Order: sequence, then structure tokens, then C-alpha cells
Amino acid sequence: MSWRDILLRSARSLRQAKVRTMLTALALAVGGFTLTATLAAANGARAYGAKLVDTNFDPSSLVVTKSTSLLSRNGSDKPQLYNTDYTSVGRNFLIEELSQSDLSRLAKIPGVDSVFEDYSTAALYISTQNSGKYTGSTSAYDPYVTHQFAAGSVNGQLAAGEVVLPDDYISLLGFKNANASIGKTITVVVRQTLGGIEAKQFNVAAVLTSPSTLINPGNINTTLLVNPNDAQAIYSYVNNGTVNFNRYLSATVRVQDGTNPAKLSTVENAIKAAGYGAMSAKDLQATITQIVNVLQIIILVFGFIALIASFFGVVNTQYISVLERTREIGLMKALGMSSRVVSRLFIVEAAWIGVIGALLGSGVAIVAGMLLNPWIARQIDFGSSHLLVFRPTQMLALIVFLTLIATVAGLLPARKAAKLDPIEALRTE
Amino acid sequence: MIETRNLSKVYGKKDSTMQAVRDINLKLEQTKTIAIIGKSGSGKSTLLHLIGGLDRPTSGEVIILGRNLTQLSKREMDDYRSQDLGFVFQSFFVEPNQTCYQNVALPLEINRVPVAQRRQKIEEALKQVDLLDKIKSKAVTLSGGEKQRLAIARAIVSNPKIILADEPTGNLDSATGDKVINLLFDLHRKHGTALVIVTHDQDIAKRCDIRVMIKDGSVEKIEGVIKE
Repeated sequence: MSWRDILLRSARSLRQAKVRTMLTALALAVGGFTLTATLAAANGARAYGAKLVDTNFDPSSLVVTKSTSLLSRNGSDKPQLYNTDYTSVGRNFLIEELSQSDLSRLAKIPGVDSVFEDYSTAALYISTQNSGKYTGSTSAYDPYVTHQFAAGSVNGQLAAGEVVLPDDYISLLGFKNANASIGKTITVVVRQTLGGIEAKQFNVAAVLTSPSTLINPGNINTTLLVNPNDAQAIYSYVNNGTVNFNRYLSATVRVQDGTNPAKLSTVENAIKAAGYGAMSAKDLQATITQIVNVLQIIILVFGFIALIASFFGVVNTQYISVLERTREIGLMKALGMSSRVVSRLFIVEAAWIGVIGALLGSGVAIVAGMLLNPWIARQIDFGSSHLLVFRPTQMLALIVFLTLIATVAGLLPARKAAKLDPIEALRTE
Repeated sequence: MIETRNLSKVYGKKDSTMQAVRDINLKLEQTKTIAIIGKSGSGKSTLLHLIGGLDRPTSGEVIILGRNLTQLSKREMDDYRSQDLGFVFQSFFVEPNQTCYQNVALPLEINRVPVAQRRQKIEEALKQVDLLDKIKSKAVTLSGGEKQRLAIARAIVSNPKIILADEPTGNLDSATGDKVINLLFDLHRKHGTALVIVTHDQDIAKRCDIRVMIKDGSVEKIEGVIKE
């Protein structure tokens, strides 16, 4: 019997037991749905992580910290000896800060193009003439980071006196929409730690899309990006005279030809060898990916458990099918069908169940994903990104995998069918 | 030639054995119609199964169309059944939820007959049993007589050399049974296909060229033309 006939005949047999076939396929579909949704969610999370990194980090730069570990207790649970190199975070942790001499040392490492201090500074408030006062902070604009703008644009470096405003501020600051804010003036008021208050005026050059994928711990969506000189001026005004003045939690080291991974890695290793902590955009992305992978594996395990249950469902269904069709099997063998072909008929039937289950599970997951993606994105502030990203190759591999599982499940019943004695089978009533 | 030499078949093992066929020697002309007759449990169906290659003898030999069945491999035996034989059973064994076309197509599928040649062969077979108009009907919708005619169409579609019929009228009323038997004899006359019928119906047996009477697994008597 040809494979074509085997495929058609086994499909016909399944059609004759529609309800049983569909119920068994549904069991497989549950596993298929879980696996499809998990893969899609992991794809989406990884893509979002990549986007997060792309829109916050210059891929040719490294974020450098004084210590290889950001937070430190020096291995002691006792009060620490006062050290001007450290600033405390919370009650127990210390962060070792970079000094100007560290920055000079970093600038001399071969392959380093330039070193930028972290001038992030908390503002007292941000306002316009027509608005209330809102909290926020300022940070230096980095032209090498891929920004997504809802309105306006920035060509190269941001000009002095200009600001890139997160769009969360648009309505708060009294603007009708993002476009209406372009060219308008906002006021950033900062307070000197050891003195007075100063108001600085900025013109809005662009508005970051909402929700922003900006990473700036503690200041997500409230960081106004300004020209580096403006950022430095604010930083200096606020911190001048304090112990933290000209000391930085981190610095950005731009690498010559840093888009070349080998060169970036060489400089990263050199910085680490000099005793500093260094992290590239890729490192951060790898960390995010690793977290996503771990979560993915946990959920995949549940999907596989569902598959194990459906595996036995297919075995059971096919055994019942063999028992119900004993006479048919006897007839086929009497007419000269070989045991091998009989076996193939039942294996292909099981495979069909796998195909149906896989298509059902994956199909429902894809349709549900397409329908729910916009809603999910709104719920978890994914912006224009999608949580569920379906890749055709993965879906195809999944369908093949589920079909394979069902095929394996069909082996034992098929063996039973192949071993039936035609005379005994024909005697069965 | 349908020949058996010291053919025996024993079922069961050790203490609980049952000898269904006992030392049967036959030499029958293949072109004839042959009736194997006997009471229930006499061993006539077992003899038919041995001739049909559905079962292997405990001892002795079956030589059909010049081939010793006892020496055939499993695959050769499958080929023998699919290419040289056509089976008709008392219980029809048609697939109720498949169409007449699909039922008759089964032997052609087994013999890997090209798809393009199938329709003509199936239509020809159904025409011979007067079921061409039911080609698209599901077997479940057919009457008992029609089902048996469908089974006959399935048996002849591969142009077998021998048709083995095991109580073909056993589940039919006498009028319908007569039509089925007439059909089998017509096919024999038209195509020269050998016909071996297992029956306990004396009227059917009388219409056959050769009658082999079986009792307690042994040949009690053979009537008709026997080639030496």
C-alpha cells in the first residue's frame, strides 16, 4: 500500500470516530497551546529586552562602575569604617563611586574613545507657566542610543537649552499633545544641596514615545534628557561642595569602533583587568535573556507535563481503535495487507491526531495572541511592542514535535494491530 | 491445481489440543467449482483457511498454482492472498462507513495499483455485481444481499485466480442467497476463476463440479471430476 493510500485511509478512519479523535487531539492541543504561548511570550520578552537595551544603551559603549559588584557590604554585617570613596544606599549597602582620577585612568585604556560621567540629577520640580509642579530628573542625552520619538526629532547631539521630554509629562505640563509641546519652554528647578534654588529654562526638542523603554532606575519615564553640558551644569550646581561632587556612581566609556564586538570585548576585559566593573549592552541583554529563559523553561515544563498526559491519551485512544476495528484489521490482513502496512496505518492515524492537536493548539494560541496582544501591551506598558511574538519556524518545529509525540504514542497500539491473527480477528463479533 | 498432501492442523497446546484437519490429501483442478461441505465444526473452514494462506498447517503441505504455501515467507504469503485470491465471507466484512468505491478499492490499494487505473477496475467490478449505481453509497445503507455482492466485487476487482467463499449465503435469506450464488457461478463461467465454496447447503454443493465432504477433520468422500 502506498503512503498516499495509508494517509488517506487513516484519515478516513479518524473521521469515522470524530468525537473521540477531536477529544484526544484537544488533549494534545492543550500542551500545544501552552508550548506555543510560552515560546511566543519568551520571544516577545526577549525582543522587548533587546529593544529595552537598544533604546537605553549605546551598543558601542560600556557602563563602568568603580567596583565589580555594584552594591557591597565588604563581607561584614557590622558598621563600616567611614570611607570617602563610598556612598551609602539604604541602611546597609555601600556603593563605591568613581572619582575624576578613575575617569582619567579609564580614558587612557587603549581602545577607549571617550569617557562620560553620569550627570543624572534629581530636580526639585518641573513645570511650565500653565502647569503644576512635577517631580523629575535630568540626564545627559546620548546620541548613540536609539531613541523613539512621539514628536520632534534630534539630529546628532541635543543643542544647549533643549530637552527631550518623556511623553508622560505632555498633559501634566499643559500641552495638548506631543506635537504641541515642540519648541515650547519648560522650567527645571533644581536645589543646591548646600544652598539655593535655581530655575533653568529648556525648549522641548522632542518627545519620547510612551510608554518609554527608558531604563534609569528610580526615574523611569521621569528623566528629561538634556545636552551633556547642561546636564553637567545642573549636576555641578546641585552637588558642588558636597562629598559626592565629582564622584559618580557610573560612567559611560565609548569604545573606538565599538560596534565591532571583538574590539568592545577587548576594552571591556581591559577595564575589568584594571579592577573596574564593566557591562556592555550585550551583557545586559544576555542577563535579561537568561532571566526570560529560566522563566520559559519553568512554563515549558508544565506544557510538557500536559503533553505526557495527552501522550497516554493517544495510546488509549489508539488501543480502543484497534479493539473496535479488530475485524477490519483481520479483513485487511486476509486480503494480503502486510503486518507492516497495518502497523503504519495505525501509526499514521496517531500522527494525524498529533497534527490536528498541534494545529488546534498552535492555531488557538496564535489567534488568541493576535487578538490579545494590544490589550496585554496596554496592561504591562509594552508600548508598541507585543508580548506574544510567533515565529513560523518555531511553530513548524512545534507541530512536527507534537506529531512525533503522537506518532510514538501510536507505536504500541500499532504493534498490537500488526500482531493480530487474521483468523482470530475475523471471528471477532 | 489445488493440492494438499497429508494436511493436518492442530489447535491448542499440550493437553488441550484439538485436531481441526486430519491428514487430508486432495488434488483438485483449479478451473472447476469446488464445494467443501460438512457440518459445523467439521473442519471445512479450517481447510479453506489453509488453502487461503490465512493459517499455516501443523503438518503436511498445500500446493496451489504450483507454489508450496508452507514454504512461502510471510511477505510471499501476503502477496499470494492479495494477488491470486479473492475472499468472500459469511459476515460480508464490508466497511459500513465507507462508500462502495472505497470498499472495493481496498485490494487495489494493497496491490499498489496506480490511482489512475483504479476507477475503471472498481466500476467494472461493481457493474458485474450490479451495484454500479451505488458506487457513492455508504455500505451501511445497503441490504444484506447488496453487502455480499459488494464483498464479491471486492473479491474480483484484482482479477484473482481463485475465489474462496466461506458460507457466502449463511447470513442471507434463500432468495437473496440464490442470487449471490448465481452471481458467483456466473463470474466463474465468464472469467474462468476457480471457485471454492465452503457450505453446508447441499443445493449449492450440487451445483459445483467437485464436492469434498469433510467429517471430523478428514475427507469423508469426494464427488465429481478429480484429476489424478
